[in-house]
Amino acid sequence: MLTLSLTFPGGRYHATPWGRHVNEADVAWPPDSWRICRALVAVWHRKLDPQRYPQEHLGRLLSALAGEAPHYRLPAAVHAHTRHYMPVRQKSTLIFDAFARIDADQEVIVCWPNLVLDEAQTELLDVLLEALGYLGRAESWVEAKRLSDWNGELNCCPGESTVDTETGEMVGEPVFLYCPLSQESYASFREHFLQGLAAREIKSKERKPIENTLPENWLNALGLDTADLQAAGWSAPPAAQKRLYQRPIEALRANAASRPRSRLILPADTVRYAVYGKPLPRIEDAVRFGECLRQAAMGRAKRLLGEDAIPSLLSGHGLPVDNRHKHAFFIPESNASGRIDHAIIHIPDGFGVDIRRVLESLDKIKNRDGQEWRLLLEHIGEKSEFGGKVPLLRQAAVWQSVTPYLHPWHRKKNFDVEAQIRRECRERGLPALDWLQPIDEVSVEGRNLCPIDFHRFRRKRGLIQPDTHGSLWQLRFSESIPGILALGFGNHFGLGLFRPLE
Amino acid sequence: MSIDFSALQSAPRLLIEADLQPLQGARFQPTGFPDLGAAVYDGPNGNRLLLVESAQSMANRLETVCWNSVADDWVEPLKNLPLVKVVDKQGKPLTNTVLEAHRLNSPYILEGKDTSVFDMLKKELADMDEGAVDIRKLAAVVLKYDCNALLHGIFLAKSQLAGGRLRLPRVLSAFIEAEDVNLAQSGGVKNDHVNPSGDTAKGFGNVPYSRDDYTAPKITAYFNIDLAQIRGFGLGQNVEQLLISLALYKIRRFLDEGLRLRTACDLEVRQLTLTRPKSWMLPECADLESALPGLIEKTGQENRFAEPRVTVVRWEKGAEKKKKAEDGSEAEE
Repeated sequence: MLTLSLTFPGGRYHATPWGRHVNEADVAWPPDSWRICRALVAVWHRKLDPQRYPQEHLGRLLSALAGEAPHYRLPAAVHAHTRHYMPVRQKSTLIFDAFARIDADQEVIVCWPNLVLDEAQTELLDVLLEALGYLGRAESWVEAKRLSDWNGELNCCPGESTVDTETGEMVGEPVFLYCPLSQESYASFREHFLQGLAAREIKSKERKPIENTLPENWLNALGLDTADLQAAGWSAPPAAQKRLYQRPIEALRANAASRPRSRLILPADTVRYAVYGKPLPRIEDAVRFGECLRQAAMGRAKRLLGEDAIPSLLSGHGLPVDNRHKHAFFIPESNASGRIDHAIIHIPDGFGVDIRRVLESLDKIKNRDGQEWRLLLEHIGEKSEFGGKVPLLRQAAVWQSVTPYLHPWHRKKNFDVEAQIRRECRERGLPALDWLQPIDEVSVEGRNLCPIDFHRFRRKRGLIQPDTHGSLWQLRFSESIPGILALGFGNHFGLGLFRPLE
Repeated sequence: MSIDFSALQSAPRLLIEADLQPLQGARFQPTGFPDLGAAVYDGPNGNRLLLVESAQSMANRLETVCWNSVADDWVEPLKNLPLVKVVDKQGKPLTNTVLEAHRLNSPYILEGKDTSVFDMLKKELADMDEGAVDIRKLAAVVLKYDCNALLHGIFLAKSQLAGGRLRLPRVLSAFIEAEDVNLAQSGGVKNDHVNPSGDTAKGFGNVPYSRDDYTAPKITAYFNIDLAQIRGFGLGQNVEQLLISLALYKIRRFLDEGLRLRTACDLEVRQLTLTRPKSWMLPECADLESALPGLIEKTGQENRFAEPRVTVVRWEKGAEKKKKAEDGSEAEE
């Protein structure tokens, strides 16, 4: 057994297959034995001392290599290319330069399973391999060596088909490689061809170049210049034979990026968008905005995931009874002048890949009149990552209404609004309230807004709404709590929203 | 310090890797064309790779750092190396084999009315018209007139010169590749405050533009010197040492001062590693500078260079070949 190892220190292998134009950007992969033998001829010719290593030795070595079709072990490779224009002003032809991109430390194994070289052949082969600088184009630097013991598994071998007999699946893809003809086969081919050529009545001017590409000496035929072969009209080198090989289906992938790239997805429960549009909605329309935001998210989820696959944490539908406020909050965030310039979607239980995809792609919302605002994703992550930059997400003990609180239960004796707030906080697992007091108005850039200035109704009909008036409050908890704090009727859509007091 | 070449006598190749980083900021602009963009492709493990500088471009850059354009001569340590200079009708310097993309095969040298170099090459390479090309003889001739071409390769693509079969491969090849790249898109406007809506085709008016830069955690320049090929030229030890030193000098100079590849691509070396042969120490630029004049002198004493070292060719456009249609009409007459 003779085994060679080829590594490509530049990470690239350039070689155009026979019969293909360079601009087809195909790559002859793996390096066939025709190319390897010719590379060895070139090395002998250019780098070796002919006195020390006479041509007959080279002939014997190559004849041995040509006697058998090699098998291969191929590493992962990607079929890549670069492009450039020829710098000629009148005719700027587009040129493709294709190559296989391989890892520099991965080796291509070429193995002749039944070949045993004698001592002189082995010595010459070692010298030739050591001096081999490139294989294919000059850019594909190569380091080649003979391996004395290698017993790995081969994955590219000559053969008709590779079908898994158990599963019936194709496990290889067919590829034609060129191998040199043996000396005897070449001699007999040449004889027949020249006889045929003589029988055809063609002018000597046409016959001569063809005859020149069929030298009597096999080694000379192996070393013929490709340009001469092409000029004589050969569609394949006369001293080579085409062999069908089966290589692994993924041996030369078109690109690696088509595989899903592993992406580190950090846990997230909150996403914040900047809102663009003229005019920006007013904070008085917070609940309208919240509903539009939900509608936009639902629409996007329907498109991306399908109508039947909308996550319940996003829709709020079909959740277990105990998940009362763990689904999505659609919260408008206003600036100092009372205009909504940011939007927050917060899901306290955190969200997975599907919801993340929906929220990442959300880029606009519309209201019922067709007015449109653009959403620009600012950050997606855990609530704590937003830090102090987002007021609604800060930590505080004292909180004040931004939008009116609408009590969710009917008022009864001993169950007034204050009692309802206390109960709600208790049910949400918030710390005890030290005190709470109603306030008449909230001020927004010189304007004082009282509850009835706000829109206080959901679009969804049939909802029980014990409170239609609303009230504004200041709350103080026994310890500081992180936002978002939203209580009461419509709290998932921006009603009953509180902000921390400085 | 003299350079110890003994460790290189049996090594087939010398491989060098330079770890590069942008001099300022994190972005850099790779080679690219407006219609095509940059050459981005995938690596076998799925990371995005980018060709920052191709082998052809690197050859030109490695040559440029050897030329003092103000003095129109080699830089100081390389003085007295042979080359071919092209002058115009008035005798003013036009170009030379160091700066020409195709070196000795430049059309300014081989296609003009002054056929002195062409005739000389034809005469010296006459016995290669038939049979295999004698690579050693070709190398000796190239060394004589344009020793720089021995490192970067040459292709004498003229049918009168052995049927266009005379070629030497690159001994020194290099390229720069970035790994795991990310696109940094930006843009701007060229403002015309006089007439913003002027005719942009004529250079007036506001013109918005976009540009693509890249960022990458790893940018590497790869260099490969084919030592076996240098020995294969069979030109003797002095020439071998001269060629190795010249190649290393080019690499050192390029890394020291040639890394401003484009306006928006100015790189610096973070680390330089000799990957093959590992036992050898890469000589410093100063060592090479002090060794090179001696090596040039020794090679000169072996009569391997043309005398005078500078071959001058006068560039005058040769007679244009007649077009085929005209030939046809003349034949009819």
